Amino acid sequence: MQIKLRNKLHIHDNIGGAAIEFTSLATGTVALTLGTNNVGLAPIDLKTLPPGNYTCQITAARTFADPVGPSLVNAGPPPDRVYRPVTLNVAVSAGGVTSATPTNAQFANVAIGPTQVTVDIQPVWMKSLTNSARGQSIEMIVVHHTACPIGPAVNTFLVEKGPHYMIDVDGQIVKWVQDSRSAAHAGVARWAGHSDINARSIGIEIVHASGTYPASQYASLLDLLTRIRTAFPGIDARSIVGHSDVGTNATGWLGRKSGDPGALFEWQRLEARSLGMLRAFGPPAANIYAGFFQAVQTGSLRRGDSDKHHRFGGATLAAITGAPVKALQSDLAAIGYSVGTPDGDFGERTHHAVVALQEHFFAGGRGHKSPDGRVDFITAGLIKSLVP
Amino acid sequence: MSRTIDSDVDLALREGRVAHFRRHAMRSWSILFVLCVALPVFASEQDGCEATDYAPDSIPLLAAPVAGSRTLRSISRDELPSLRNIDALGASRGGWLKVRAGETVGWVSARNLACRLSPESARAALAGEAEKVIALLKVRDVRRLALSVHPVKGLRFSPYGTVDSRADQTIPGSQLEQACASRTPRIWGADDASGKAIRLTCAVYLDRFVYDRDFAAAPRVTFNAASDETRSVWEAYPSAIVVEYAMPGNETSPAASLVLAFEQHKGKWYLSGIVHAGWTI
Repeated sequence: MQIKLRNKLHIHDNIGGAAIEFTSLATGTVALTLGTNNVGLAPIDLKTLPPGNYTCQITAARTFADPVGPSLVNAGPPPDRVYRPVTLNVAVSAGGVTSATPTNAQFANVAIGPTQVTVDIQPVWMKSLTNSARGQSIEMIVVHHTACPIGPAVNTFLVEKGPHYMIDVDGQIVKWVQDSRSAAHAGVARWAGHSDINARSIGIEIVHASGTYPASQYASLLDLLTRIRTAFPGIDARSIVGHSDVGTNATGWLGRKSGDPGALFEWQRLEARSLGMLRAFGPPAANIYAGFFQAVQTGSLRRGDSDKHHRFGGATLAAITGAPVKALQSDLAAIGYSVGTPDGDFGERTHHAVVALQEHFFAGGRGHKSPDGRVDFITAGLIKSLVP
Repeated sequence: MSRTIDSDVDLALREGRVAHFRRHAMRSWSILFVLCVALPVFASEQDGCEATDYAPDSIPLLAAPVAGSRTLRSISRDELPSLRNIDALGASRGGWLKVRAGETVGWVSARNLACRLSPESARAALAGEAEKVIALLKVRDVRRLALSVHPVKGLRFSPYGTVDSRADQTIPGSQLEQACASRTPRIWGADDASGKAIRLTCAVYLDRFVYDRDFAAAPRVTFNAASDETRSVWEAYPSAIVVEYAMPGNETSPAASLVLAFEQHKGKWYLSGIVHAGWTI
């Protein structure tokens, strides 16, 4: 009989160099000590492991038992993999291992075959090959979702591109890139006047393809955000944003990453912990944006509107002599969204910035309509409440 | 002469063909009126249009596809569902749609109007051409592919699902074969993760960002169907026929789509965009 150790998230990774120790529950003494070879295999000599119950402690060459965060692999050359230490409760009969149950079900999957016990162990660190020097201090966090199951995501993060952290559907966190390095996660992006978002940010990918996000992911995300902000106090709570808030095209238009993390993500769970963009309390003044909403109560500032041509809400309104579009653009820019220099013309760039903001604040069931880029009074009040 | 008008219209003006446009419009009206009474609608005619956000309340129907040309009449919002788009004129920036409003045929700026064929009509109009194009892409036959490329707009290559008019490469059909034979790398946009330039030869780009899977064997092929992958494509090609070849994901690879955009020019559909709507981080 033999025991085989593999990476739970990438089973082609064999865990070599691990120590395996069987301790008899009856006597409290160590009955058997093994080590895995370079393909993750260790033979079990049943002569030295008589029938009975045991605890089996599995310790990979690099393990980490604490919560995953900045303290993991924070200095020096990064190893390829770091795993959770695993303890199994094992029952042995004359014929071999009859049961093997991890004390923490999230840390390992166990399969018992006629000749082999396969243990797939939860990694906490998997080294991404894609990272670079930062060149900037860390001042923001970008939250993504994978938009695919974990298999394709892991394959991509290993070799092509990836975030600093990934949160699996069961809440387990894997770190890929040291915080001190820049990860390739945001792409062309803009926020608060900056375009080097990869250099300034920590990226977190949430494994999510469809449906609601599980509570375990939110719990892990909130804890991770807190740990990161503790380690990097330069990250303002407001600077925790979604990829859809920052991903632009070459021209600076938002929308390149529309839907990331998407309409089902509940930003309000972060806001309840004072994380992310927070709204000021109270209703907006009735005369916001040059009194447009007093003139047209059910109107919406929209693409094609222009201060210069007194076109507001899709129609000419000569009575409005202020500059509501420019004021709107200034507010969006002050929040952080990419709108360029406010010019009073509600063009494509402004439209996409409004859609991005609506995506963020209408997500999680909070929207009164689908994101459409049109600034009705509710959207206008929302924007005003977000201006720092 | 306005600097905003497009090359073919520019050429028409230089050749004094504006009057021809006007005469042609009137003649077309007469012929179409007769045909509409006697024959079913042509498959290539597009049923119903939508105003864009830029459109004024009354959309001017112009005698020629030139900004500032004579207004034949105004089109109200109520008339839009009954408009018929009977042709289009490509332009490097935007374009012009030839539409029939009631009994009048004229031109509307594509900035103001978007007209789409129904999925059924789009499939009927273009299934054969789309099949030919995907087969040519599979064997990298860019010489023959060039014959299908939009004569004014050329062929725009978008490496990801979001069309980026500033960053994406657009290659005229006449230069496509030479461009793809060249060993000189081009910049095809920015990497979705690092943000750095995608610097590849055309041949390598075709392998990585166009035909990286066997899209000709895609289990789902749709014409003018709305999907997450085509949403951005519609913004860039509002009056196009959009054909999506969708490959499902599996345990190791995410789903991906290849989206072809065809736009009308002088009565014929041409390929004007190839969008690789794969997974991005």
